Parts: sequence; C-alpha cells; structure tokens
Amino acid sequence: MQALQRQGYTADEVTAILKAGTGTIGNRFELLDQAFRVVGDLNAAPPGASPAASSPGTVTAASVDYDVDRPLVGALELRMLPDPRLRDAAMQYRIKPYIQLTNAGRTVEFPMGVYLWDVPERDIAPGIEEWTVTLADGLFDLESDGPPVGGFNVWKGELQTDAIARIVQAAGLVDTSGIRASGAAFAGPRVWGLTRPRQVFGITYIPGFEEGWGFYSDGATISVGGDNPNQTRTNTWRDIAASIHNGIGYQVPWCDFDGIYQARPYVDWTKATPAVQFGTASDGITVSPIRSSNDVARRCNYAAAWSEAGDVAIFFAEADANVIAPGHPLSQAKIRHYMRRFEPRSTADSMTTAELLVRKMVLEGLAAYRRVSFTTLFWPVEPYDVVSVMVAGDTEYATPQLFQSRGARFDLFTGLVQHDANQVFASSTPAGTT
Amino acid sequence: MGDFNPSSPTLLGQEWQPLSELALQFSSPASGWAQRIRPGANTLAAIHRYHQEVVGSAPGIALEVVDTLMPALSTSTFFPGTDLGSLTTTGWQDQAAAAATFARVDDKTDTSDYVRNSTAIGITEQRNIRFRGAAAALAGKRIAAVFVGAMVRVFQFSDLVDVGVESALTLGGGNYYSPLRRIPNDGRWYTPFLLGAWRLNPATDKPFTQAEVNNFITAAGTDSFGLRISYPRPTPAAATAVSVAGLWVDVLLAAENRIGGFYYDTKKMLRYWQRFPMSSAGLLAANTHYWLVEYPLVGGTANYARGVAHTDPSAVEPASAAATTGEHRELVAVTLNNGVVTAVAPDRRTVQDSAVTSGTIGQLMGGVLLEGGAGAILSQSDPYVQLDRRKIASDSIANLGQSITSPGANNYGAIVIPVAWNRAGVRPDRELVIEIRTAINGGGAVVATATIQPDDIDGTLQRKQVPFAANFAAAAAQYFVHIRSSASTLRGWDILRQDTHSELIDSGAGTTLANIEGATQGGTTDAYFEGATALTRYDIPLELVAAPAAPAGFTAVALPAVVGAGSVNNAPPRVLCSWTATALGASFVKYRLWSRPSRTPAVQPQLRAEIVVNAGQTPATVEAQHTRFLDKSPGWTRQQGVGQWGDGWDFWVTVVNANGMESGPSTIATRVQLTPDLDSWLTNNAAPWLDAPVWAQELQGEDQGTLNTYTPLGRDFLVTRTRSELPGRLYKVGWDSMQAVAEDGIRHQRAAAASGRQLVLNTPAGDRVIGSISAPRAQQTPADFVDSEATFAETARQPEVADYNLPAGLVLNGTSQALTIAHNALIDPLAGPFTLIIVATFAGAGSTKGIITKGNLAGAGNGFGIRTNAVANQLDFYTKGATGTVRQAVTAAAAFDGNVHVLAMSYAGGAGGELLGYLDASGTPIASTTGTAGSLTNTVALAAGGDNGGTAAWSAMAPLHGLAYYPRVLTPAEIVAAARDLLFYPNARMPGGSTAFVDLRDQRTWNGVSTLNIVDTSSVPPALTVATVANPTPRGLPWPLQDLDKF
Repeated sequence: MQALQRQGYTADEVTAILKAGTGTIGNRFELLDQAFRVVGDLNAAPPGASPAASSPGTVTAASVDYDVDRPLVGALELRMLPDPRLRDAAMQYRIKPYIQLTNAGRTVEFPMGVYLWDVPERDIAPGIEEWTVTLADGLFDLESDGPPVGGFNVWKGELQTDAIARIVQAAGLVDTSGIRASGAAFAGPRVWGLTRPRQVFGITYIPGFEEGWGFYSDGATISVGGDNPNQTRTNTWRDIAASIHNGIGYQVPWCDFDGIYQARPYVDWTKATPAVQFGTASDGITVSPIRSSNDVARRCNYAAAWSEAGDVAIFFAEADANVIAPGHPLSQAKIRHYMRRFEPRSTADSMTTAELLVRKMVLEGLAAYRRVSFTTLFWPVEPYDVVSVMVAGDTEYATPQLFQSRGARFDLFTGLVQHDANQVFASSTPAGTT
Repeated sequence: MGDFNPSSPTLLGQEWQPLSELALQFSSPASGWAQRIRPGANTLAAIHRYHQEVVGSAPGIALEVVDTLMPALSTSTFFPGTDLGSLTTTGWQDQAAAAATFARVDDKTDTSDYVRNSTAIGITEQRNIRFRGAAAALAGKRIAAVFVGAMVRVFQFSDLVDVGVESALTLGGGNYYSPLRRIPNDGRWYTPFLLGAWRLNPATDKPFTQAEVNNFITAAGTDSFGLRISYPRPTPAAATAVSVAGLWVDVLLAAENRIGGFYYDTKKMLRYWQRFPMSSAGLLAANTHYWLVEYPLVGGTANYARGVAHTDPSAVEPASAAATTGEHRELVAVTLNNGVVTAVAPDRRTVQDSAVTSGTIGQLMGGVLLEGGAGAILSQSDPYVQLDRRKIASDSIANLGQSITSPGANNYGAIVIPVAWNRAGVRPDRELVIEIRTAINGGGAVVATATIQPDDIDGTLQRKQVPFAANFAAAAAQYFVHIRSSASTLRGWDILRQDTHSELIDSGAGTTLANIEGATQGGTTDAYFEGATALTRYDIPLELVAAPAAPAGFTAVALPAVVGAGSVNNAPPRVLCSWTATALGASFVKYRLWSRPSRTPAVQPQLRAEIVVNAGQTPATVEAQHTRFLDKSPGWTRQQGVGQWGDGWDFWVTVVNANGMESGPSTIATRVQLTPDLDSWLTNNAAPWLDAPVWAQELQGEDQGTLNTYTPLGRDFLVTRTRSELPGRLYKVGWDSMQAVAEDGIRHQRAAAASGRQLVLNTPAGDRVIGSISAPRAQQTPADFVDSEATFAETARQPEVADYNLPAGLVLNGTSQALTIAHNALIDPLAGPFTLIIVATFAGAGSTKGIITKGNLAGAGNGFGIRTNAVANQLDFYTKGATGTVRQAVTAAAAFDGNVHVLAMSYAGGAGGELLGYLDASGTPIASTTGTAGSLTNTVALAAGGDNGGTAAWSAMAPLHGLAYYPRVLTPAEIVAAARDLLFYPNARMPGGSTAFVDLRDQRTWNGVSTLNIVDTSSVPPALTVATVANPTPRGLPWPLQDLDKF
C-alpha cells in the first residue's frame, strides 16, 4: 500500500481525509518525457508552445487498474480531447496521473503510476475529435523488446536481483531502487534469447527444448532454446525478468505508482498483518455489496522444484499445504488429494531459493480458494497488499478475513476503487483491524 | 583558463566541460596523437606535458607543432658525385684496374662499369669506400629517413662462400654502419640492394635535419656515405672478387611543416608534469589552425607512456579557423611513417576518425600547456589531467563550490554544471541547490539560486543548464558558487571536479606551479573550494550563462471599442502593447508577452503571446518588425475596484536568446484598464479574423453532475464526493439586429465556430469566459436584419497563446521601396471610370510623394493616383490625362496619425466626370470635384509607395496592407464596405468586380516571407504580375482568410 503520510500530514490525518463524510475528488496528469522528466500537464496549455494548442488536451475520463495475473500489470485508460503535443508522439511521452482528495481544507494527492503514451483511438467528426487510449506502464518497456542477438547472459555467482537490475536498465528504465536484493546468486552461467548463429559457433540445438531459455556450462554449450533458427524471438525482457522473479520466489514484476520497477519477495500471508480493513464499519468506505466467488484455475496444494542440468548442484525442494498452512480448506488433509504443480527448470539455483519458489507456488494456489470483488471509495492499495474484509452479521465474514489484492481499478474522477482479492487463510487471527 | 572564448561574453566560466576521460597510449613510434590548436599570433617557447604513467625504459618523446597534418612524402635519390681521395681509392680499382672513382658507381643499374677490391680482403679485415654527393642542397624540407643502397657482386673460384657488406655514414667524424648483409659467392649482381635505414640520425639520436643530409649529398659538405666490406668466410676474398656497380642514398622527405617548432628526445618522458623547450619555433599566425603532434620517439610494447584526454559531447568544432566561438581543439589518433603523419587512424574509436570536422564531439588532450614568450601560458592550454566526482549530500563537507570572477557588469540567468546521481539508478531524495554568494564561508549575500530536481536529469553524468530563480546582475567582482544538498547519504548527488595535479611537479622538470595553476579558471584567484578553503589545484567546470537585456520602451495602451458608421463595431476593447526592438540579431529566438490581473494578492503571470521565428522568417526581421501586439483577451474594468478585473491588468515583455535564456521583464505597465463596451465581444488573439461582437441574451448554467453520493456499508449517512474540476459555464449568445451588409451577416461567427478555436467572451458586465461556440442558428428578419444565436461553452481558464497578431504587410522605407503591378489593360482606365483603394499606415511628409500612382505624376505623360503634397498632411487626388488635369488637394491630418487607414479615389471619366476622394469607412467624400481629363492611359506600372512605377517619390508605409483597382466607380456604400473589410470590421466584404486586388493580410496573396511570389487575387488564375522594388521588409503573419470566405 502506498504510504499514507504525505503533503505534511500524518497517516492518521490522511486516513481522516480518505474516510471523511464529504470531500472533493480531483486529479491531474503530468506529462513526462522518456526520461521521466516532467515537461507539462495534460490539462494545461504547454507554457512554451507557440502558437499554443487551440484546445489544450483535456482529460474527460480516466481510470487506472492493475491485475497481477496478466503480463502487463498496470494500465491507464484515458478519454480526452486532442492534445497537439501528443499527436504522432507514441512512446515519446509518459503520463503520470495523480488523484487528489480534499477535506476540511486539507488536500493530499497520490500518484497513480507512470504510463507510456501510445497511439490513441480517435473518434473524429467535423470539428470534434475525441481520443480514447489504454496505456501500459513501464513494464511495456520490458515487454516490447528483448535481448539482442547474443542473448542475455548471466554468470556464475551473479546475484539474481543484480541481473534483474541489468534487465531494467537494458530496457531503458533508470531507477532500480524498487529492486529488493535477495542474496540469491546464479549457480552457473545462463543465457536467454538468441545466442549466436550456431553454424559459426557450433552451438548444438536440441529440438523440443524450446521454453525460450537454456543454459550452457562455461563455454561448453549444452542447449539454448532461443537458438532454434525457426524461432524469431522467444524472450522479452519481461519474460526473462519474470522468470528470475519466479526462481527466487518473488512477486511477478510490476511498477509502483511512481513508475518504479518493483522486484519484491512474495508476501507470506501466513505471517502477514492486513494493511487496511474493508467492510461494514461506522467510518467504512466500502460502498457496494461484497461478491464472493472462486479462482479455481490457480488452485494448488503441493509444489516441487528441482535442478536439471548444467553444473548446478542437484537439489529437490517441495512444499505441502499440510505443512505450511495446516488446516487450510484446500490442503490435502482436507480434500484428500493433491493438486500438484512442478517447476523443473526454473532459475532457482539453490535449495534456499527453490524452497522460496515452491512455498510461493503453494501459497498462490491456496489463495485461489476464494475471490471477493467489491467497491470502495479511494484507498491507495497496491498489488499483493494483504487486506482484511469484515461484514457484520455475515456467516463467514463476521470476523475479519484476510485477502490478497490481485487487482484494483481506480476511477480518477469519482475516486471509486473496484477490488479483486483472493482470500487467504492466515494461521493466526489477523491483527491491525481498523 | 576559464573563458576559452573571450570573444563570446555571454558565457563566463569554462566552455570546455568534459564529462569523461580516456587514456592515450604512447607505445609505438608509428602511432601517436594530434590535437588541432589555434594558438594565435605567438611563438611557442615550450610545451608542458603531463603523462600519468611511464612504463619500462623511457619511450622518448616527439612533440611537433605543424601547419599541415599530413604532408606528402616523397623519396629523393642521391648518387656519389665527389671522390674523397684515399677514402675512395685505397684498396679499390675500377673494372679496368684504374683508380676507383665515383663515376663507376653513380647509378643503380649499370653494370658495365664498377669498382672492385684491388687486393685481397682477409677474413678479419674490413675495407671501406666513401663518397660524397654533388647534388644541390635541399631547402624547405623535413627529413623522415635516410636509406643507403648498393649493387654488389662477389665471385671467385675458391672456397669463398660469402662476403659481409654494410652501408656506412660518416657524420662529424664518426662512422655509423648498417647491419651486415651477406652477399653469396655466385657471380650475380644483387640489385638494388637496400643496406642501411636510419630514421634517427645515429650521431644525435634525433630525426635528421636538412643540414645534416646536405652535409653528405652536396660537394661542399663535410660528411660522406659508402660501404664497408668485411668478414669474407671461410676464406679471404681474392683481389677483384668483390665488385660494386652502384651506390646511392635515398632520402625520404616532405615539405617542412613544423612551423611551430619541435622537441625530440629518446630518453626523456618522465612521469607527471614536464616542460619541453621547442626548437626552431617560428611566429604563428592568428586565426590559423595548427596541429600539436605527439608520439614516442622509440617506444614499444614494453616501454610506453600514458596520457589522458577528455570528452565534451557539447563542444562544437568549427571548421573555420576564423570562427571565434566553439572549440578549436579536436583530437585525432594518427599513424606515422618515420615521424611524418600519414593517416588519421580510423580504428581508434575513442576519438574522431577524420581530421578537422566541424560540429563533432570534442576530444581534448589533457595536460597540455602552450608556453609563449616570457613564460606566458597561452589560452589554448589545458592544465587538467583528471576528473573527480564529488558527492553532494547532507553529509558532504560544507561550503563546497567554485569561486568565479565576473570581469564586468553582466546579467546572468543560468548556470551550466556537470551533475549526476551519486549512485547509479538511485534517485536523490532531495534537490541540489546552487547558490551564488558573495562570501566563501557560506555567508554574504545570496545573489542567485538555482535548483536541480532529481528528475531533471536521468541520473547519468551530464551538463545541465539550470536557470536561476531570478536573473542576477553581476558586478565586476568575485562570486562564490556554493553547491549543496540535504539529500540523505545514500541518495545523494555527484558533481564533477577537474584536477590539475599541480602537486606532481618534479623538481627540475621545468614546469612550475604558476605555469599550471595560473592557467586554470581565473588563475589562482578563482578555484574550487570546500570547507570554505580554496584548493587552487582544482576547478569545477561550470559556466554562467548571460541572459539578454529586457526590451526597452515597453508601453501598453488600453484602446476602447471602435464603433464605426451604422453602429457596426470594428474593434473590441483591447490593449496595444509595443516595445523597442532588441538587437540580438541571429541569436534572437522569441519575444514573450506576459500579463496578469492587477490584484492584491498578486497572481501568477500568464503568457499571452510568444512571437517566434516561423519557418522562412529570419530572426533579425522578426526581432525588428514584430514589436507590437494587440491583446483582446483581458477582462474589462466594469467598475473601479469591483469585480474580477476592476484594477486592470499588468503587461510586460521579455526576450529569449539562442542560449535558451529569457531576459527579465521589461518595464511593467501596471493597472491597464479596459473600458467596457456596450456589447459583448468574442475575441481571439491568435485568430483575430474570427473576432465578432455579440449581445449575450441569456446566461444559462447547467448541472454537469459534479456531486457524487455514496452509501457506505455500515454508515448511517451518505458520503459525498465533489469533483474538484469547476463545471464549465454555458452561455447562449445572440447576435441581434445586425445590419445586413452581405449575403451572410454572421459569417465571422460561423467561421469562428467552424474553426473550433478557443474564444474569449467579454461581456459588458465584466464577465470573462473562455471557451468555444457552436455553429450559430440564423434568423432572417423582414427588415433585412439578421438575428442569430449560438451556445458558448466554457472550456478553460486561460486563452491560448498567440503569435504576432496584427495584419501582415510590407514595410516600405520611403527611400527606395515600393510594391508594383506591371501595366496591363485590366488596370488601364483609358478615358473611362475607375476606383483606386489602398490600405496602409501613411506618412504625411510635407513633400510630394506617391501613395498609389499609375504613371509619372511628377513628370510628363498621362497618369493618376493619390499622393502627398508639399503642404504637410495634405492628400492630392490626381488625374492627368490627354485632355487636362482633374485633381483636388485636401488636408487630412487624420490620415497621418500613425494608424492604419484606407484611402480611396474614384473618377467617372468622360466629359466632366466626378472625382471623389475618401478616407476610411465614412462614405462621405473628403475630396470632390469634376472635370474632363481625357484618356489617362500609360504603360507605367501601378505602384504603391512611389511615383512613376515605384522609381521615384517614394512614400514610407509601415506597413502597406493592400490595394485594389476597380474599372468602375464604386458607390459610397461600396466604398464603406471595402474600407470596413480592409479595416477588419466584422461582416464586411470587398465589393466585387475588382481587376486588381493585393491583400497582404491574406495567406492566399503571399506567405509573409518571400517578396517574390505575391499574387493578385482579383481573378483566377491571376492575370497581373505583382513585384516589389528594393526588397521591402515583411511584417507579420498572413491570416487564413479563406476561413471567412467559406461563409
């Protein structure tokens, strides 16, 4: 969750603004250049333009959403009047929206991400033109390109999070301060993407081994999926980063609301406390009935990972819901059978990281047991936030239950937030309810 | 050394601001480095060099200052031409057993004559033969290398296997031999046979001088060349066994290019600073490029040196040596052939791969001091040999920065400084603050402040130009640039610091502290400092950028609405801003006109206009001519002290130069109040042809759904959230009872709606709304009046920014310039009727000048037109025909008040025809007479601004907007319509039927740039040829008036 304290107000004061009975909702849209420098405001005429736009770009509707289950996690949907600065300027600018809340003379604002400008959909009639566009955040920089010929190489002993930082820099993003160091290192050299023409370097191509990554050992190449001459490109930077994230038990890659690439360890909700509680409360902000469903496709109660090739030491790691979340309704002890998942060729290069990986897989699978959707007034949740939901008098939710935020959609004009969260079952009673 | 370009006073500090450095390797005599220099009219007494590392035995050093980097190399061959007595004959005979002479060996190929050993040569014996040349002395050459060759044969019937042969130079009494070559005993001539090669004179260990070579190739010399036969094996060589048929010296040479002197030494090249006195240095010329070439005289892979070079991506390399701005120090890697540069090395990627290219990235050899006479260090020196990064954060040492002395009064607007994030990828958490103070200890006055935000740069090291919060006027004084940040220690900043390593002066190396530090920025007076202590060894490569001076003579005059005849408005309340043109010339970029409501508390200034240099315009013309602006957007003062705009408006102008610097404000015209009109006005500064007077009939607000209500679960009451965006207001605006002057009385309104442009609606109540209108609905009334109504929607707080907004035209200087239309039957009235119209700003000179004429009014022949008279402010409506002259002169001071006016003249022709003269849109003639002129025909061009086809009696017009010719007499009503159109009354049109119409306000007539393609728009296609005389200056931007003609 974004920190609440801001603009000189304490977290309690900001909480009061967010939960007040009356208030004002506003927004603004910074125009950034490719290097994230502020160069203007979408709702104001550019000060240096001459002659200026006859009708400065005016945003008429905007919403931001994230969904950790899709490749490009963050997105901004805009409806706006034309802005001459943005004509034929796809991917030359970024847009950083803010939502502003005011109550009792106090105004706070929250950044809502940094999104790469793209070609808008234009509705054109004589004298009228309106743009609609959906923009992706900084992950698009990683998704739209991959390693050049030669591939992306890591070496034995390189920290995996250092490799992620190199990927982020290679994709053109500068700030790597969102990458939390893990301490895990690659056990051997590894390469993603198209390495070199095999007829020149004699790399052996093994048909059928086409996951898009492979590894070789100190020059004696074993196999590289991307070497298949029939494949044009199998890896984007995001694919590679996601693969490394996964291998060290991290969350999927996402960019925070300041546009900074995030590589964070997976939240172990068995030890988590909720950041906020939604539901019925005398000062609550939940404005819709809570709908509960399931997320059946992702269920899992057992996971295993092991090393497979190269000079990586042999190991085998497994996680079982019976052990890490005993009593969970999806555990094998309850349902009497296993729902297994395996990760044989991950970048988990040590027993330690492999255990993190399988634990994450099981936790993700268990959290798919039940999903809730509901709408609240603005609250600055972020991907993977653990929140609690409590509905007085409800059979199941009369006591606060823990959920993990999988998606949220923020309307920047009304301030409403639509949440999608997967229910988790903490091993202890959640604390910190509000 | 600070100001590398003292002729560029707008910059103070170091124009050479390197961002990175690279190592220069000196490891082979075949490769070195050359730097272009422009030392001015000086003699180079010495060059000081800094080498950061010397490995192995000394690689030696060669320094040359050359005028031609790559002189052509050629080889000259010299044969023996002088016998040297016993040196030539002892032990030798010719092929006929006579005494040996030079004539036997003075070729390369002839074996019919030769010399041979006259006695046996023992196996331990060495037998010499020497000659001297008889050639003309070399002049103006530099010697690259000397080679000695010979054609030799060995033959005898015995056990002799071979004989050793060496070539020899005898220099100053000493003998120097080449490596020994062996000639087999096989009776064959070995030819041509290269024996010796000397790149360096073996007697001096330096390159040969021209005099040294002349000493053995000329008869008057004192040295010689030849052979030494030695060591036959395994038996002695019998008499006559060894023959020499040819002997010669090949000299590799080039035209002398070491104009600025040279230094050679095979032993010296110490570490760190060292001074090398220059030999044969001559006086160099000003504004001329030379090259400083350096290479190791004897270096190799085991004995080499390293120097340093710096890179400044922003340094501009001008190709012309006369250019006074930009850097003249381009560094190239070179390959050498025996000390002479033969190529720039394209494979050494770190520097430019070709010589002297303009506009390339600058590379500078670090640690080079050029010493002129009397020990003076010349300004093209570079004492810096290392770049440091200094962290700036909350834990950095306090009072860190650079002192800098302003040589005189100047107005600075920005600082350029190399800056980076301290850690790659980690954005600082506080801004970097740069303060200009008057004291080194952090005290004194703060005269300027600049701030760099973390996101102002992308994190990498870069030069950043940071504007000061306000320009500061520097006196001739020393200032202290303090750099600080309260960023946390792990999220700090870096700045760049240059190190001269003046502490690394070796005793006896010749370089002094004063040589080095006296060459740095401001000498030792200005230096880097930290902890309030000056460290003269360092400097920060920064510079202060001057801002231009604000335009002078700024005035802002409120003009009330103009109500023309028939209650038709033609101009809304507006403010005429004007100022004196600045004199930036080519570095002019734009004027910026600012305004703000005169209020307490004050509000942020708003940009009203940016008068820029558009495509095709020249900066100087825009700067000189576009110095007026009509602001029609300010709200009106409804009542003093009441309402939004009661106190009026403040106006000022600034100017921006090519350095990106904006001047401070001009004189601020304060509390300029606009008198409300009785009607509402829709105006647009950027598209003034869309201006339309309106009467707002009703004001209508509409709930745009800005209040949202929610019912949170578990709460007792509703929660509301209001959108912070103000709802736009909606007006219904009406145009009521407009006079029907054309087929569509609301075409301005329709054009404004169709344009989709932003308009400013000012109402008599003092309201000011900015938005746009929908297409108006019109109603035709029985009384020939037009009513209409449209919806006006508020869309913004500020009107759009405009460019120059007065009608475009040509400025005629009154001494040589005119606009002409070549004679054509279409503009020849013969004895019939015609009407002439011209719109311009007229000058009442008090002398006879042609305003618009056809014919020579001051001379012989037929003609007609309007001109001024010797009486001040008098207009003369004039026809002069075959039968007689019909004219009337009237005094009309109003026509010469400096504003734009329309003059019209009609003449009915025939017998007793009526001549009428009109001023503006009154419809009442100011001149009226009758008479018979007869045929007025002539073949002279119709001219505006002069008489007799624009060749005499020129009349100044600043500017001329247009002219028209009709082959009929326009009625007073038509004259009114024409004048209103030309003066930009809404809803007016030019009468039809013109046979010449040049409207310089209109894009269809010209583009406002070229005076070559001015089009007559009276017919399609144009039938007339329009031209200008003596290149009048364009003023303004023609408008797209075709927008209006759609309606």
